[in-house]
Amino acid sequence: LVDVELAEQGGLRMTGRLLDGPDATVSVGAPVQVAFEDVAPGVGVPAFRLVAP
Amino acid sequence: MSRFTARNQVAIVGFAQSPIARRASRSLGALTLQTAHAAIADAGLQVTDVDGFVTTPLFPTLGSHAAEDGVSLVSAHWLAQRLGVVPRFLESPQGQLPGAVALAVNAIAVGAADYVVVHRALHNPAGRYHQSSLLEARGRDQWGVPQGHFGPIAAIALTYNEYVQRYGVADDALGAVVIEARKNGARNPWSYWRGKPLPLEEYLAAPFIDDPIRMYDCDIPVDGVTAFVLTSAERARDLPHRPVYVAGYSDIMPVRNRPPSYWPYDEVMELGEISVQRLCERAGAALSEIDYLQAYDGFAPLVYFWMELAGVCPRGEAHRLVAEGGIDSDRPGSFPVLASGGALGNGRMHGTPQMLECYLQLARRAGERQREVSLAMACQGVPHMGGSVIYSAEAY
Repeated sequence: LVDVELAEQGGLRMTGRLLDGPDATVSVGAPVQVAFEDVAPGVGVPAFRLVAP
Repeated sequence: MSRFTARNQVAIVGFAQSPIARRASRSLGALTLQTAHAAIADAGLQVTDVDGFVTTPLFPTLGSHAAEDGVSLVSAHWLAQRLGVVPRFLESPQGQLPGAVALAVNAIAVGAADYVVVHRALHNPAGRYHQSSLLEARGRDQWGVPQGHFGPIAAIALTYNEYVQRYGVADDALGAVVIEARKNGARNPWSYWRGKPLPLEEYLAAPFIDDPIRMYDCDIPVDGVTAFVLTSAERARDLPHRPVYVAGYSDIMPVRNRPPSYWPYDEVMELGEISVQRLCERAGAALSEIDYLQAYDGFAPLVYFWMELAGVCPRGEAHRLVAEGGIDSDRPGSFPVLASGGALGNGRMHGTPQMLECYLQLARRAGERQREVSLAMACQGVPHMGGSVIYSAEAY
């Protein structure tokens, strides 16, 4: 789970799963991009992937 | 700003602590009645003397357990009725223990009640503690729950990760916090963990519940009751035990509309600082004058946060101080912020171990743990939505 602040609006945050897997190297401040994951038929929720800085 | 006129006008004059069990053999109501009777007797009073009752009866599961008075929680109303008292003051507000102390102090200071029982009864229900039957996430829950951000453990995992990354904390640092709490709790006759200190290997072998939070970083749900009796400083002089005065109190809630289990580190500390500043203003004391601190430890990282807010060490350095033995209760000259055993070493008692330890020290009733201290601070909760109280051995 990651807590993500939107680059477009400081203070606006979302939590979501990081889809890079449990072995990914993550640090506070690492840039991410939104992705979506389906948690149930017809239900997609925001998730995130690491992007190269 | 107005001077806090109730400062040191009200004192704790007695207490009782039930045995803390994973599941008690009797109902929570019966346990509470017995504990309240014992606290009133400890204060040298009769049940008929008591004319006020306050508790924060929160039953903090996220699941589908029924919150039933006398069974899974015990309100002030329930207790007064079962004790057969017609009270003058009766409150069971939301919030945490410092809020209950505040209400009792205010009631006594203005003469709305003379002798007030403040109790806290915690219950561990049958089945899983949270036992969530949630199939749909609605309202504010929809922004985090489907992604897996559900409940306080997910919350503290994110908060603590921010702390870890910012201040370069070692992976197993919290082990020293939990081991200290369990060491002290193991010495308490009432603790669920009595006689059971925690070896580091066992701490490390336990699973991550939500990385970086391990199982023993979380307090264990229990059945248990703590009760205190408070009265005016004037009446306290006629009672058997040395009074312990309430110098000041503070509690706080987030101003931002955040989901309830979303605790960004900066907001936790920002509001925690305001809360502690108010505490000091009310008590008319500087943090540097506080010579005893009992940090809240419902989750182990909260110990670091409260230590830093209380000025024990600069921001980001509590983990180092703990690792160096700075809170070791067996070391002379240390600052033993978990001397009570806390929630990690007693069971999930929501701030009563901290309050009790401050009382016992200042009343000179702490036995082998006794230290020469005069001004003690007890904390509860996550700092941005918790509270704290300063107790004093003298009515300055």
